[in-house]
Amino acid sequence: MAVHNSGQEQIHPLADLDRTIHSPARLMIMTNLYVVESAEFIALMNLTGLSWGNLSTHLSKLEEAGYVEMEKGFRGKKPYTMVRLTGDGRAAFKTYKDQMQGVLGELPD
Amino acid sequence: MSEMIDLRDVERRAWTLYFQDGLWDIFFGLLFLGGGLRALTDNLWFYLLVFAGILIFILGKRWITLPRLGQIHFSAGRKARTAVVRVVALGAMIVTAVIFILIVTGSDLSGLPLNWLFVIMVPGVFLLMAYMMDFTRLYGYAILVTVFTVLGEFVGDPAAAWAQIIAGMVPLAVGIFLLIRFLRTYPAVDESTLAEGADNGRS
Repeated sequence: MAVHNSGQEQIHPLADLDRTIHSPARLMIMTNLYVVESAEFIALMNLTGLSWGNLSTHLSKLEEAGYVEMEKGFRGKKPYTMVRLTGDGRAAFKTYKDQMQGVLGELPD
Repeated sequence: MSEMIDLRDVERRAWTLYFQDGLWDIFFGLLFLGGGLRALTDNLWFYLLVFAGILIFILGKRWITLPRLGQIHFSAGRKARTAVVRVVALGAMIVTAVIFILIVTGSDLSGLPLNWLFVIMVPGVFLLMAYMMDFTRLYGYAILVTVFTVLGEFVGDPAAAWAQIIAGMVPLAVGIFLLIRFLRTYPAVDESTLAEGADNGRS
């Protein structure tokens, strides 16, 4: 999104942030998935502190964006869901991280 | 750079979650306790405590930890660190077994500094495990191991056996405490129950 400032067109780095990632809950999910290969749904609940419903909703949004993929399976008779970042998700998170680092890294203390 | 440290911290937090169940502590506690009691009484049945430790660890991870924490597949870097620990621990066990067989079969090993080998090797394996696995409590257990290994090699029983028994009680008590806290903190859940709960909450 272009931001006009004093007649000069600037591209503000914050305006380019990926809104899909830039929500506290989804950022927590993406961060936790970024540092591992994959994690079970219950593990993500423990790591993020999100409820089943919340986590489920946010994961659906990330899945729609093509950032995560989910694989269902059974352990004995009990179902489980493994969640992992896709290649696009990993790239998007890296871009987001670099943008945030660029913006926040230059702020004075 | 601070961003990198944060991500490492996130990964470490996920990894160390699995040490909150106290099963490693119970395993080491029973391992030391079994060895110490056997040395003190010369009764081989006390080795059953060691087998109990292995059994509790394997079954506990499967039936207690996994249903409560779920599974995480960690990065290649983390897997490599774990592999190094396995190889070194296996190597130490093989060295110990070979020396034991040589002694039992009557080989003359008097020229070898076996005392020093064990004093360095056994605590060394624990320190390496603590470092590579980010398992902080293991540094403390490495100190206990050093004490009873030094006593075992240079003083002998019953002092070494008692030291090993006391050294076993420490991780065992810590492990039981952690396991109880773990069971209270993390209830066993399965996804079908959670989904049903969420559906009921909506209706």
